[in-house]
Amino acid sequence: MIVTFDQVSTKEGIRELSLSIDLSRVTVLADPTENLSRAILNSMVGLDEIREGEITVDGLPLHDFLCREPQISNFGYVFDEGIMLSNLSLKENLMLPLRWINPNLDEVETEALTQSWLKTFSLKLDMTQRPVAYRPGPLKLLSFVRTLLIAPRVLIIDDPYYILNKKERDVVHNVLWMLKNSYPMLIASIDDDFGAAFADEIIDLSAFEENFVSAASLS
Amino acid sequence: MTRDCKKKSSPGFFLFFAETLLEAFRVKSNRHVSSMVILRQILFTGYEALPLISFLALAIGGLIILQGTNLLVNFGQGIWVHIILVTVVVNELSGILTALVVVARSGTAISTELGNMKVRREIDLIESFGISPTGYLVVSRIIGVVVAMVVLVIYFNVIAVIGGWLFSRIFNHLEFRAFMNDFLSVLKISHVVSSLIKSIVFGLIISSVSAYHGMSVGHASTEVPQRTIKAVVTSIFAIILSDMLITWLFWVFR
Repeated sequence: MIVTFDQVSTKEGIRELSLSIDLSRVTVLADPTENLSRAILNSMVGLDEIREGEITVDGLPLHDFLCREPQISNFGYVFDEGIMLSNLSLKENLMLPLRWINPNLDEVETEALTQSWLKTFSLKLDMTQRPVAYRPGPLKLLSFVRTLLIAPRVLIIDDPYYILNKKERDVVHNVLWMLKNSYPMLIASIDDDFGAAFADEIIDLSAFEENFVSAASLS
Repeated sequence: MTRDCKKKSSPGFFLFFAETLLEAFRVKSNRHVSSMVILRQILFTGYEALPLISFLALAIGGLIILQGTNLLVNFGQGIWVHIILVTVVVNELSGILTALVVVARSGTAISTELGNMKVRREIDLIESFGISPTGYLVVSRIIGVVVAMVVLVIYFNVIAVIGGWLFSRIFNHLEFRAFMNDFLSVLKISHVVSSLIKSIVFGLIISSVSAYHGMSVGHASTEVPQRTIKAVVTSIFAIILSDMLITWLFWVFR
């Protein structure tokens, strides 16, 4: 799967960006500023407003590609802050996208799969609690679980180690290595060492600094 | 119907309202219009507001009878106090006062909750799933508030009439049957219909205006109280204007 940006400008600040990303393997967007990489990921999952140019996926306009089937089946997005819906319990947070894709979910099978992923991420949480009961680190790990339960075609991860402590970083590091051969991934990272060791391809976005305008200058 | 199939833009209120109505009419095919959110909204807006509405309705019904009786008895027209009860409470006050209570409780809650969800990027999360935030968050709340408003206005009217009778009983020793005979003799079906229409319109106004302002918050938490204040002020203006319009329409086509 190839995503192509053709002279794309967006509301979030991308300016006339032309870029091609191979999503059939592990690609790291190395971006010291974090801004452009996040804007690229956001625009790919439809969170940004494209004002000029076109994003295509295997030649198909992004808009049409995202409409073909439930979006999260294609692009599973793990936000840098591991966002959870605050008015739902942790369990409901995991179930929401799953039920959206498949209303006739097999509860027993899903529960077994959930427990397996929670174990992999060394998470022991009371799933009836709301997110406010836990600090951001475990919630970010849980957001990995939520995305992996969907089993999307491509994992899109914004800064995988952000807000994690040392122990949690080790867990994520191990899981990412475990998934490396089974999941195509697109990862935005500020960590040069991580990209060099982990990625099949590194796209150095420092060469594209002129293609991003900060939010401050947009207003 | 997924969020992705629409072009992203920042709609004004009427576009937002049109999109919400469109999602609402497709409620059966929208899997993401959550019945749980609707039930929670009815519980919060309706059930939890009952003590305050009960107090208000009893007091208003009683005070109107008390003041009206004092005034009209001097002219030997005490019977007409029930007309005042019907005209003032059923036609006007029940809808307006209930709406003000719902604005204060649920309107602010909806605007603040959605605004905070925007700031915490929870709306982005929902969109990244391909779920329409309008369908999942807004439509459910609108249905919940409208249903709760209708029930609360009916409840307000009933309690206000009981309050009126209680005061009549205390001060004029009026029997319930006699009171209700007088009351029902002046109550017309158009009064009830007008009251119900107003409750539906007010519910729509409160929920959609509050949701619009909540969803219009950018990424700064300081915008949340500002937007909430705008939601309250706009809702109150819109409620009074629509009340005048509906009353005028009923007066024209009576």
